Amino acid sequence: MSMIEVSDLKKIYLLGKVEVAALKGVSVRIDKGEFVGIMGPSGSGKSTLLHQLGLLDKPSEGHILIDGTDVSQLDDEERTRFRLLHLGYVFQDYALVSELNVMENVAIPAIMQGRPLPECYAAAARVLEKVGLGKRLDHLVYELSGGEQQRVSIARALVNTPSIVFADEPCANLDTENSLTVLELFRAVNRELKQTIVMVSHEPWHMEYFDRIIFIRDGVLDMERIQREGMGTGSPR
Amino acid sequence: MHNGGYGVSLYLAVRAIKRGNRGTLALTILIIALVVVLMNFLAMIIGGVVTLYNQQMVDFQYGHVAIEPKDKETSIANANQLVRQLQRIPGVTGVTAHVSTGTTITNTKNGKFQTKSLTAFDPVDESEVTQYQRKIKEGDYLSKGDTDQILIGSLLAGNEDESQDKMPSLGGVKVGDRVTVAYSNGVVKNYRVKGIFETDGVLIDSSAFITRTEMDTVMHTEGTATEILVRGTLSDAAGTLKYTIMDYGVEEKVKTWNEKGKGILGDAIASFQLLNNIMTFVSLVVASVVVFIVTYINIINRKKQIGILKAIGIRKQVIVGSYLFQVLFLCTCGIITGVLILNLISTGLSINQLRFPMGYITPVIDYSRLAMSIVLLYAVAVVSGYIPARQATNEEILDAMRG
Repeated sequence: MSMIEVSDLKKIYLLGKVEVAALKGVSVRIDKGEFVGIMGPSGSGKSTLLHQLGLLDKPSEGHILIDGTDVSQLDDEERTRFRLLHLGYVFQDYALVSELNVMENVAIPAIMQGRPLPECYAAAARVLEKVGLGKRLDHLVYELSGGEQQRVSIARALVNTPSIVFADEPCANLDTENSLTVLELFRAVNRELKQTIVMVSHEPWHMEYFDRIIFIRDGVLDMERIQREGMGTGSPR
Repeated sequence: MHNGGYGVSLYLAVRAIKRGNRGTLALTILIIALVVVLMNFLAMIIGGVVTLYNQQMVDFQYGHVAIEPKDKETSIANANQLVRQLQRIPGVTGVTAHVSTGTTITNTKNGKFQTKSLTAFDPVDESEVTQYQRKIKEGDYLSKGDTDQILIGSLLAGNEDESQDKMPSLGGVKVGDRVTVAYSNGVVKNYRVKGIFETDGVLIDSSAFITRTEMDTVMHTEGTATEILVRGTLSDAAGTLKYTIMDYGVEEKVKTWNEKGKGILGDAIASFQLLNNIMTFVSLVVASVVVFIVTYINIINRKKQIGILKAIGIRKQVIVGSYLFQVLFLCTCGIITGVLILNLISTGLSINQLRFPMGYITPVIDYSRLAMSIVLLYAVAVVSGYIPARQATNEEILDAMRG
């Protein structure tokens, strides 16, 4: 069952007076419950693609359908609401709010939904327990290691049980051990909760964690590789 | 705003304040506090001056209501009858008739003289209207039958050392000394100084008084008055008392103490108020610039954080709201601190009073003006906080996240 359907996606940036095409017409489908990796060399457009799929940026052309909703038609307010209710994010530099402690950082998307505070904290504590930080709820961000901060970030992405989690090179700032922890965590979430995950990476050894890999080169879909049986029903158009 | 709107703003603001930079917070609160002080300090001093001046006008110069001769007349002819009539009016607690005349008073000891208006009153009637009886610095107050005694103000009495005088004086007159008074009708009389009074008011303390009995003998002013002063129950009710007196058929000019005194300090107070308004305006500009800069720097430092919040689905209005809550908190703390400082200054200046020409003043905080300045401060702070917050939240998510 399709979770994301992208057709002829283009993104053109204006650098001064020069137009730079970061995506030159990408079409892709990602199924529900898939753990998809987007890979490619630096400057290939993999992060740009993720930003368009995650509604963090607006494409110049093309359509994106997420869980049946044509998100290209949404206005700013609706996109914000959509991100809150349906999407979760994990960024390369963790992107935590320094003035909030661990539990508050994780709870904030739930609080924004208008859920009662005790319920939000309970949900946050549950997810933090799952990522192995159940004993660090009251710690501030600067008291955590990089790996721990990234796990907080993953917990925040999961707290609202989103339809899709987008991860933009989440291991780029981590050592191998912490990277392994993060990837294992993603795999566990994907398998246990059937969580759809779309992750950008440039590390070849990450490939074994993905169900399917979409390779991007120079803003176009280069190739696809299905890693696991029964996965990767999506195909480039 | 749907559920989780302003609540989330408050949630974020509380934590930003709690875990933000304490030094910046304290400094900003202090600046806003000083702005509150600046906006109200001069008004507080002016308030003290006005209160003291008003009190002195009532207590020593005009009572609550002053009755003057009709136009083109120099004195009130039927003064005794009018005094009796006024005494019967409800709300009147004292009536005194004055006769004033131009004189030259000379200190017989050193020959120094001053040209002054000498006023005569009935000491008993006078004590029910003015407060001279309570302000005797040396000697005694006048008695009803005194004929060769004079009461003079401390500044008119002066000092033997001229350099200590605040205004031209008789060069150090003491109780028991003798002064010569030359009247406008040519009579020259010698008086013993019975008492010296001191009210701290420059105009008041340079005057001199004798009894009506003495004045009537010298100037033949029996039954007349150059002014009649009336005391009621409250200074604020002087207007009502004036119209009550007029309703009783008094045909002379009836003026409240306020109307009488307006001209003397009125212009000075108007100038002070203008300065005060300029100061208030400048203070407001300072406050708005400070809040703008503080919010702007705050936002520049947290631009990435704003991007993150937007990315995870926090609405722009909620983020702007959190900055506005922070601004309101800073303002509230600054205002409370400012009001405390203002009260401390006021208390300090009540203990170590400032001396003005009309005496020592006790600062009076004008709470209506203070309330107005607080409202204005909140208004400029909210606008100055809103603009940079709005600008930052309008930025694209990815641009903001890059910092």
